[in-house]
Amino acid sequence: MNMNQPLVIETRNLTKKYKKTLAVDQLNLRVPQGALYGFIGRNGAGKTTTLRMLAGLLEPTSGQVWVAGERVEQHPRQIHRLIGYMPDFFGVYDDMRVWEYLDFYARCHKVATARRRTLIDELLELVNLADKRDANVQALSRGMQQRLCLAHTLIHEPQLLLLDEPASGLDPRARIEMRELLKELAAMGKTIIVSSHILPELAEMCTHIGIVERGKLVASGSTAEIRQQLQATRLLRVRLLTDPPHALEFVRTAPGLGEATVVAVTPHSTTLEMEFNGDDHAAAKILADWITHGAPIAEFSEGGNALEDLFLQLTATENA
Amino acid sequence: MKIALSSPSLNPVLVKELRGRMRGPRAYLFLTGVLVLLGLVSFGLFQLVTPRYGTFNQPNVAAGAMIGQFVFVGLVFLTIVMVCVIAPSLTATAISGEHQRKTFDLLMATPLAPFTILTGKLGAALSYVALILLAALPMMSLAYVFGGVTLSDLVRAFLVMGGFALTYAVIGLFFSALFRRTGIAVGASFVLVAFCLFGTLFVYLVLSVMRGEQPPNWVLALNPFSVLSSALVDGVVTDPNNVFGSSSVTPLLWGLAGGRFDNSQTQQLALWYYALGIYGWLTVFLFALTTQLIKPVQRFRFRPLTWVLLVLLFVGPIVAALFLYTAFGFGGVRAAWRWATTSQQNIVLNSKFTDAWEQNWRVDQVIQKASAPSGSPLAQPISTTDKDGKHALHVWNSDADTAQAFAISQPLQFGLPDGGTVRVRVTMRLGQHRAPACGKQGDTCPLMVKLQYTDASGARREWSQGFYASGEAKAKLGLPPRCQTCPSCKTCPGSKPHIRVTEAKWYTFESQDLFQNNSQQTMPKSLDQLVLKVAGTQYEAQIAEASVIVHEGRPLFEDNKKNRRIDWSLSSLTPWWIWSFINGGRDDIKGGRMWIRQGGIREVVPLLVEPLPPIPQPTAALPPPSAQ
Repeated sequence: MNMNQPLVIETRNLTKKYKKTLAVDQLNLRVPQGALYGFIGRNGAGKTTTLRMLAGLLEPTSGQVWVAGERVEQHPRQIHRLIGYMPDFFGVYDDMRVWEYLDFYARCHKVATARRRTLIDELLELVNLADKRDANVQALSRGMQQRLCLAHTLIHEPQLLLLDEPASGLDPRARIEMRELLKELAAMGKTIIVSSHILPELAEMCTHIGIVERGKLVASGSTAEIRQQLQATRLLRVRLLTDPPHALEFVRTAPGLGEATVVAVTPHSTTLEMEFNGDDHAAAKILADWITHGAPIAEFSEGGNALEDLFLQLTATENA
Repeated sequence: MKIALSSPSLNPVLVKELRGRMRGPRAYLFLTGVLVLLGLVSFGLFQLVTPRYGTFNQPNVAAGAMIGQFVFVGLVFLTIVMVCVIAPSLTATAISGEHQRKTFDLLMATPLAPFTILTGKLGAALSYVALILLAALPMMSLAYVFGGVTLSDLVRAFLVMGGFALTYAVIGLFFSALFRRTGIAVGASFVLVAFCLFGTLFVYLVLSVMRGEQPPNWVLALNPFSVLSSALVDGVVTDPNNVFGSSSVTPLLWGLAGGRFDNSQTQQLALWYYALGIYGWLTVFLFALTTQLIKPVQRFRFRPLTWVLLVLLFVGPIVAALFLYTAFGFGGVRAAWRWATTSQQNIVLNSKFTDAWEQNWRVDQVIQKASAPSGSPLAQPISTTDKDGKHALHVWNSDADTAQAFAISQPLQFGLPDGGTVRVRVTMRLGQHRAPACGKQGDTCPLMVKLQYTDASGARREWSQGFYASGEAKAKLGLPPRCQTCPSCKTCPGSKPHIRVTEAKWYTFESQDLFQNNSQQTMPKSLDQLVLKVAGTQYEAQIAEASVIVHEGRPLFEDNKKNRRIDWSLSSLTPWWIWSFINGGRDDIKGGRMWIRQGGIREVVPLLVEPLPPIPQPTAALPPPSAQ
């Protein structure tokens, strides 16, 4: 993480206790300006609790939150002018049209009357709901409501977006659209914190990642840093059209590989995995070598998902 | 893109709520239903009551008035029930609905203040209630056509209904924020409203059976029917004994308002004054509490102890107000307010004669005997002197054969509606005089200070105090120690002995509160005139100051009205042994008063006014008299 960038969000020993459950435990979160921060954790890991505390909607049991240099607990209303917050579960009012929905929040943020109308149209355009302007908000599909809610977070042009599982409950196509939207917003220079329990969804687009488990931040940093941590534990996966002994025979020859383990066996093929600490060039060379040696390779890939493995690894450690 | 954070626009919550509420046929269908119900009920009431009072065919003004009142009261009662049910049910869903729809976080993430959110919700609910009330108005003016109902009745009824709508709406809002679940919030509001509507009546009935007499009317202070009745009946019925004669519904209203039927002339505060205080305070208190309740990041945590403290905080002022009212009445509280907000002032103009004394003081020659015929010029004119650094009025008579008396007076015309303390300060120097003490009748003191006033019963009274320098006022000399003949002193309850001052020395008399021991009836309502009576043969009197120092009003806990059955003042409620302890074992003096314990009720006995020691000569010279 580039420490020279100003921090938009900083928490110190942020803790939230619900009766006996410790939802968030001594969390020290640092989000630099302009980051697209992926906040990842399993369901119930404390993501929503953390985001609500960041948004000034929940009082921490102990610890402090600074947003843009201000204590959230002390100036909740100023903070609300700076951030756009989208909860994971939210509802819409009865008897309300799409434009009225945005009009309501625009009024709440005291958007000037003249500006309100054009702003609403712009935002509806941005989230692809321009044709639903006069529809009843309750009649919208889940994905549309999700996008409408995202639009409402932008109504006062906040510099910081707190999006709690914005893609949950969306179909794959809508997820991709949502991802594109987030990238677009990030490109506009906004700092975005987006939470999810699905890591790959975020790993690709986020500049920073924080992994939370049982209320504790178990890993955090820029995506590159986290990837680097993974270099040592990269896995290569090979499927050979032969039986296990022969397969092991083939792969043993290559340099820079650890002990191979058999992961799957079918009547005609064997799948092996082995630790590998070289770069992509080294991997290509190994493959070329094997092919010249006549190995019947049906598949050659990086084993598993690196980030997901890390995720599992980290959370497993915590569970142990 | 730049957003202008300006434009003081409408409350966004109000706009949203109104848009949602009035959309679709629901609101109009409901309103129609209300109107149909009101129409049917008023028709039913009309049908019910007409056979008793006659029909339109035989026009009868009195009958028309009774029908009008009956229909009006019926409609108003129905409307107030609707208002009391609809208002809280509209607001009980306001905050809990946001929680249940999961829109609360979205709302709280906006920079709207809790106050704005609540006023928006409240405004939307109340405007709907106002719509219902407005819709009911024509129906009630139908009753107005029959007569028997005045515009003032209509206005009062609507004020009371509007007040209840506000209070119950705030109660609904409070429960909504407290329970966060619509069902519980609505249920709790309805239970409370049902208690106010019927529970209080039940309590009143149970109490009256148990006590065998009518309970005090404030038991009904929370009941909307009673408050409405009291508002309608207040001022209409001035004579409780004649209540049955006036109309068919008046006894009902009178009874509901907790009015007395037992011929006792007990003056009771009309119920709606209580209701105004209690509900007004409840509304403000709950609204403030609700703004705290909906804050996501709260200033204080709501623990069980917090609730206990809040209840105390709420009940405390009500108890205090009731205590103040019971103990002192409105007059007492008003007097205490006046006491606290005013300070002592001298109401005598030119009291030190520094300006030309003729401007403010009038002289009447009362007696002139012997050598000079009546009506002739003053034997000795009154002048001013400067003596021992004091500027003084100088009156003397060097003629041993001529008796003369002057009344030097100043009209005061100072009203004391709330009572007050009145002290007199006179600085004098009396020379030798021929008649010993104050003469045989005791009325020819060289100087006699009189304060004439009108008391609460309208009688003119006078306080007086005589001063002399020569001679002894001893019984063996046959001289009265106090005035025997002046009419004033016969009416003065505690006629004061004359005060002997040292001859040819300056002396300042400063009285205590002149009326501290007066009953309510004899307390002055206005101070009329201050008179300095100078009289005798061969005398000399110099007066450097004549002041009347008034502090308007009455402090709450110095209250010592004798005619009160129980003295509620803190000092009198304090057990005597505490005073005894404080005063070192003596049943002693507190603030110039002696407290004597007599069979549980303490009488307040004044200390005699003792002359104060002469004050030393002032160091600074008084300003010279203005040249006139």
